[in-house]
Amino acid sequence: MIRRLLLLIALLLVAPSSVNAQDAAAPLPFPAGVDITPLDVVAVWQDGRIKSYDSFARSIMQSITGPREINGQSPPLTYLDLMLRPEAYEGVPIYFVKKKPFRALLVDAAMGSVDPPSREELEAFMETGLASKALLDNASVRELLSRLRSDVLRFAKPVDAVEAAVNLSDPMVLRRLLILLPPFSGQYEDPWMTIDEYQVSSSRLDPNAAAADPMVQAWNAVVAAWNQQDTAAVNTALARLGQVLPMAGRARLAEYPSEQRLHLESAYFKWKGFTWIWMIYLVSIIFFLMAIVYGWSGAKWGGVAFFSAAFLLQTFALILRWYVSGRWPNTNMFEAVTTSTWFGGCFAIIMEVILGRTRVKNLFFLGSAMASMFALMAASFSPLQLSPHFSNRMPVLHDVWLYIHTNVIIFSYVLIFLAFVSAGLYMLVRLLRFTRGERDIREHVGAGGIGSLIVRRRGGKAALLDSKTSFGAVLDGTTMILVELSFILLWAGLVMGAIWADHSWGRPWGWDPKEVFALNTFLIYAILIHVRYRASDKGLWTAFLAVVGCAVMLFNWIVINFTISGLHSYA
Amino acid sequence: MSPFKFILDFLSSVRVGIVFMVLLFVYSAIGSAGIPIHWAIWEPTTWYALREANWLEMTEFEWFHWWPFYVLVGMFSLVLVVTTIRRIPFNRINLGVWTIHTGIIMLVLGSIEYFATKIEGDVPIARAVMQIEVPGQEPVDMLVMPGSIMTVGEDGDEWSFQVTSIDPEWELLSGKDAGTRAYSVSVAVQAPERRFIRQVILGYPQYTEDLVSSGDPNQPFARAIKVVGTPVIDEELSIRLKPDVRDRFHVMHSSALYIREVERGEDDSFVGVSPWIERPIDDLPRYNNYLSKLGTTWPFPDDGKTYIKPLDLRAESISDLDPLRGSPIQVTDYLRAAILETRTEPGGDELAPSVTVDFSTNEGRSQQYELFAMNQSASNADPSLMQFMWIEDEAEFDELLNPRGPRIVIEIPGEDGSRQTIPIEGLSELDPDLPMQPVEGSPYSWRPVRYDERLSIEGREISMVRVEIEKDGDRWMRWVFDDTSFNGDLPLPTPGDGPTDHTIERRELDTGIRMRFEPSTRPPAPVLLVAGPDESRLRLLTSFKPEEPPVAMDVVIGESMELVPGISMTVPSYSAYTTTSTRPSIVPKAQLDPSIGNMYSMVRVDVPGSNGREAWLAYHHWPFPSRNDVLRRFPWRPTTVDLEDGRTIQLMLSRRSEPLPSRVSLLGFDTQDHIGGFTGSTSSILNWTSLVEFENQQGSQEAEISVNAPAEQDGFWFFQSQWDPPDPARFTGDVPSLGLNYTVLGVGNREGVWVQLAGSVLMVIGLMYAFYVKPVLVRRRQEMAIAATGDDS
Repeated sequence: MIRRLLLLIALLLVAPSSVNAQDAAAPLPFPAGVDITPLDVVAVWQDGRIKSYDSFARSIMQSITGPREINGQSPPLTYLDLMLRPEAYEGVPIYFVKKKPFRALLVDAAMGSVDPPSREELEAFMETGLASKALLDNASVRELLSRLRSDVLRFAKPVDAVEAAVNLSDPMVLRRLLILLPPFSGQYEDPWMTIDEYQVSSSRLDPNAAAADPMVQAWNAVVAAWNQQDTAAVNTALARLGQVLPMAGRARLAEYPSEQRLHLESAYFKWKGFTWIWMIYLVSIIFFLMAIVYGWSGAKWGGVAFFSAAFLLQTFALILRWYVSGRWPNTNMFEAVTTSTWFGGCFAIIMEVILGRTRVKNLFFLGSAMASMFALMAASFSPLQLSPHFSNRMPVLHDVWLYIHTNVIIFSYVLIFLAFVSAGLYMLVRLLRFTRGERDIREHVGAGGIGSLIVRRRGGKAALLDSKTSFGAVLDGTTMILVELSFILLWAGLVMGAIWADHSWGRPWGWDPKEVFALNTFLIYAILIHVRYRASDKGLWTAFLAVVGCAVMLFNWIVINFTISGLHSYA
Repeated sequence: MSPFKFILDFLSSVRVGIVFMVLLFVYSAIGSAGIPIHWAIWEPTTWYALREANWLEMTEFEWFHWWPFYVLVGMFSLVLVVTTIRRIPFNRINLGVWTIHTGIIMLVLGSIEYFATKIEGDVPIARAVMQIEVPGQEPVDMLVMPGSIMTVGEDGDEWSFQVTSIDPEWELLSGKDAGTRAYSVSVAVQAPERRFIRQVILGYPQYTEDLVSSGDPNQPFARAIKVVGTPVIDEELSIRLKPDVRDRFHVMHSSALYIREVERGEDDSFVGVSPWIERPIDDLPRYNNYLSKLGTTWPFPDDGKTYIKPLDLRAESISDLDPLRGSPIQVTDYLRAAILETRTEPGGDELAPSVTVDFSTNEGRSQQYELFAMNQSASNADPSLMQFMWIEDEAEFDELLNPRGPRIVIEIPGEDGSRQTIPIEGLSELDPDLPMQPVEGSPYSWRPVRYDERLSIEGREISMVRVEIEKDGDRWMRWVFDDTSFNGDLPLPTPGDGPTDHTIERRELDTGIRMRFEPSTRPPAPVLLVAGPDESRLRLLTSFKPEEPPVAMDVVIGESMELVPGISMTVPSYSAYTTTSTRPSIVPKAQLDPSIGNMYSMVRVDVPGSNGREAWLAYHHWPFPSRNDVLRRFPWRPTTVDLEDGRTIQLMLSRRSEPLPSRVSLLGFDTQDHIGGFTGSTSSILNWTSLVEFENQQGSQEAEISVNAPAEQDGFWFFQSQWDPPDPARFTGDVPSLGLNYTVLGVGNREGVWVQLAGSVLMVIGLMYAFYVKPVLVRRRQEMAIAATGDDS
């Protein structure tokens, strides 16, 4: 019965769920019917990169509206509407304020002013984080922002973000940022142009030809139709613009991206970087837990099916990102986190293939699925911290060691997380047994990780090959397999980083917080190895220190990166 | 148990080793992240940086080179060695752990060598130094930076040079070098008799040419070759670009005081009569403020970062060339970040009225201004909207209340000369048909073109009128000021004439007619505060509509007055007698961006022989010898101290310097850009490359240094550290910069790196052996034992 019920719950979770959580507000009448997809194949220059219009507009709108969608419109549509019809957004809350304590301060200031906004507006702001220009222009709010800006450590960044959002939303700024046309010269390093700049430049050359230019005509038609709020005319003009811009771009510049690349880039962002895959991983986790705890083979294959589906999708997302960004995705926080868990998936598959008939079966799948699920959830729910948008790498990152050092380190990090999963399960098992009144619950495999697959125990079989080995000991052996490999990889990664640092910063080791905490993670594992040698309750100490090691690794990745600045602040 | 055995057992205990590893973890965590003082660990303010406490004052580097860390590492290493030797038999099974432990010891030994000998810093190198050789004068050098100014010669034969523009990517258009891009510098030359622009190109002296006035207002300058037929108009003036050769670098996280003797020049500038001499300062704090006493800075908030605790640091002289050799200079105060601010306080016996004014709106906005009657430029209000003035008598106030219009005083010198004061009514700028007015008793006639009153120019207030003057059919423009020493004439072009020199001669072409402008007596701003003649009297004069007479009212301190509906004004304080002083204003902790380091730090020093005078010295990232050697975006603010013996010295706070293994100069600097080219932002750049030349006794050698590609020279690595990005003009009169005028190379030695690396690699090998080879060996041994005994249980 329980078995059926659990399977039913798992299947219900598989049912398609809405990927795009639409905001509740009803769409505005006009732009709702506008079809922006013809611009998916239009390239836009942004900070030394060529992006698809969709990708570009989403990155800009993220700086204004954060993760929110205004009136249920897609960010690329809102970009154009805000640029061409700014009056429609007067009084509309479009500026995202991230931190809730910061929002509370703004609300307090607004409420204390001589002309406070309505309570409903302030409550909505507290909930969604979206503020209107009127709220930000409230005299008391402005005074507060001005005061908070000088509080460098706590508030300067959020205040700057709000001001940047307001500046970006200026229609003239949005127009200046929409750099759509390659240079006349066709040279790679010559600057691209906005339509306005193009019109001025081409008018100088030949005013008559400029007026008859199909790009200018298509653009002017878009603007005119937009101003008239004529949906059909807008769609026709956008379709025309989506044809003529790429055609002219390719005629001028050999490096103009292919239609396929631009399409895929737009699709990648429309699909939110495939971060919603976490839901499939969640389902696989449920199946794997059932398989591990109850030993149901059906659940195992269900888990494998969902894990495989999720992993294939993640692989597709990774390859897609690699293709559209033109580089292996390990440069920013989003890429490091998601690629790291992809490494974890590869590792789990290999280990399950090799050790699928041993006692550790399914545990690597489970650990990998949990790592991927948490990583993709973080990317999905915190797009501002883990921004999926592309930007150019800092010059120091243009080095082969980026691929060697970073990949080894992030691979070791995912293994540390996998070890945390098995160690956590071990502690859970111990806790359950303890609460059931069992007292002789010390379990471990005798000969370390890989050793427990090779070295015979009394009785003839290696611990992890022996069906008599307790589940706790199996978890302990799994933890050790992961600890050993991550221990080596982490150290090797540190050494590789030192080699890179030596020739880029002139010193192999600078006591940078990120370096120190990577070393500290290694130290925890070194303590683990030696405590295991001496402690009487080896299993518990191993599990405890594996959890501590993972905590230190996550502290390094999250707190050090976002809070304590250092040389590695980009990674 | 014998003590020896006890110690040996202690040192061979795995538990003791674990304790040391835990201690190393705790020590590292505290030194790197700090101590959390709140549960919200993601908030930067949660992390208390213990090593920055006033009783430690350590950088990360210093924290990890403190004796407790050495003790921990030393004890851990000792335990590791003794335990390995005593407890781990050296055999094939244990080869892995022996290898790991050997690797750790090698790493520790390599690190000891590395960190004990480590020295690192940086050296800035400009693209070029300009050598200027004026006929009859000694050659002088000037670092090439946008806006750099140099004056050569003295009265009557004074030449001034200003770098007006630099194009780091100038494309050569002629000769066999056409298409090549080079570093081009344009210098405005003000010679005693003429003014021209000389363009010099680094590496291409043959393309040096002058630009001279063309007379065409649309294109004021033309190539000399087209105007006078030769590329340069003054063959005797030599301006050439040469490399900026550096032989010292500046050590990271170090402190030094620089001192030189100077002489005061006629224009209040200082000329060095001795070279700058370095005095190292050891143990200068970095993170907290230390004041020897209160009152030396402006009042500051108590943020727990300022201690009233004098420092006792001595900067000893180490050179015979030191102007104060043998006399230590004591550093008594340190401020992590401060700005020298001049403020006014009530008191003293000098009449210098100051007033504070608050404006508030009904919506709750408010703004405060400070105004000074005797020094309008120090006021922070817009002078076109609000001013503060002092009157000597009531007649002045009556003039303000009943204003007259602007007028011009015309004087015809000579025995039969005349002096007339004529109101200005009508302007030809508004009425082109305004007739010329004859000046009675003279052949001159005139008409006003336009007037401007109370313009604030370079800190002083100026009023002026432009008039057209005609005499015997000749017509010219005269700029007439309230201060006649500024008056100047500009010939008007006559149809059919050739190009005209459009520069205003600061002299009157025709001295037969003299003029002076008298601005109107209308209040100079819509809101005018008037103090005097009674010291305690303060009045407000408002004149929002020109056609209406001003309105006066007495000001009561602290009482609000409605200026216009919705806007009120309050004067919270007024003092007739004030004193002005300059002191550091401490940047509060909350406003301090940690990334600025100690760029805005200051120290106060007690200078011997200065009659107890103490001086504040601002930090200089590099101790530039003179204003002409300063890199863009870096300040040069040496402090001048007069000594009792009549000498004058200058002092500067900066970093210690060390000799470079070779002299180094910059031959070129290049950026590789992403698509769309260089936009000025770092994100548009793929890489920076400095092409440098090293030169020592063995000869010279060129090297390319770019990010991730350092160059090695005599055991030191030179790596690309900073660059000069473009930036717009930063203040009125500043020259915008296209950037790329200098590079900054990091310099450091790296003794022991190979031992560190070998140890690290051994550790990797050992770990792999211990985890993956050892179990196989154990299994084989088990198999062999089973084979030998036949018992597989």
